[in-house]
Amino acid sequence: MTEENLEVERLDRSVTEVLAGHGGNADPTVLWLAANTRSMPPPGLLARIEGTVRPPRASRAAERPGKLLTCAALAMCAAFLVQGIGNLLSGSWIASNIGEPFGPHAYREGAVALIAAAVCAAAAAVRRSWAGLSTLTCAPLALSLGAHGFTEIGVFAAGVALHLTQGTLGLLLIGAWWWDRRHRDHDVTVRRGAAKR
Amino acid sequence: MQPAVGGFAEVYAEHVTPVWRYVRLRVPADADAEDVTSQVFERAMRSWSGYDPGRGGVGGWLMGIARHTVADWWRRAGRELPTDLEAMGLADSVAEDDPEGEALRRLGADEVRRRLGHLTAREREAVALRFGGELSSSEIAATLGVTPSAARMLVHRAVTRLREVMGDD
Repeated sequence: MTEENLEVERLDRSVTEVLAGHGGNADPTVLWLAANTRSMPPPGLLARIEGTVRPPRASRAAERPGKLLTCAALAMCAAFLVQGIGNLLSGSWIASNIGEPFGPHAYREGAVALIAAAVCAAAAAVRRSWAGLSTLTCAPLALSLGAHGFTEIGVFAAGVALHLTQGTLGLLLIGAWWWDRRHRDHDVTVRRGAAKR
Repeated sequence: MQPAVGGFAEVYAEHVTPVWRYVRLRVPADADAEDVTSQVFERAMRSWSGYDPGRGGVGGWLMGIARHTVADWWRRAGRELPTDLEAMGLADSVAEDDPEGEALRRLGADEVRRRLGHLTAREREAVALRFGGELSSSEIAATLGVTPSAARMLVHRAVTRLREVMGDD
């Protein structure tokens, strides 16, 4: 290897070390180049490029659930509220109609749990991102109450009507959540496509 | 293997600084460098789905796009540059073989760009890729279509020439 080639290799190693933050004894020209060629991009430029390359965040409108999901969630909320408030205010009447002894303590605690479930159902009507958890929590409860409604047929008409409604709304909530989710995925694809263009 | 479409934001975050530094060394003013860097990422984002990692690293791929974008910028600016130089009384001194170097010598916004204007186009390119783009000699070789030893030689000659220019100053 000639002297010039050795010098070329030495300089290349020296540049690598300087760019890695070492090589304080390197060639002054290399040090000068490393110091003067490595400015940081201006913040205005970064903001400009980020506006192009970062995928747009979901807007408020995109976070709003569809009409079907909103209606199903609010109906579910209403059904749980009716039962919860009914248990609180008319527990003894319900107990007498289904032929069971009235337990104020159990009725009160059951009522509080149903009101909490109502709030959880309502959450699906507020934000799409909450709808999954809301459906996961409320749909099984609604379906269980719906199934329980069959046992009250011929015993307590109001109870049958309420529980079968809850069961139906449970199915509707699952369907509405699935439909809304499919629709949202489509929206995201369209937004990404628009951002790329 | 195709890259994930959503991964471009990460590529941008990792490579925006070297791309900016490379572009800044290739055009006379920072305002021009900002426009060109922005165009580089617009082009890169449009081509992202076609990026093939099997053909080289993403840094080299971006530098390739940056080189073409800079070349396009000079093609457009070249139509206006002689007028600017004439207005400054410099039109007679424009070198026909390297108008970019001449423009950098005369219009470069800082010392480093004015000095890079004294290099040949290939040397200037190699220095911008090595110091600005922080590419290795092998990556520069792949970008310029030369052997790694030829890429190292270009940088060596550039540094030697700059040493002389700095000595003259």
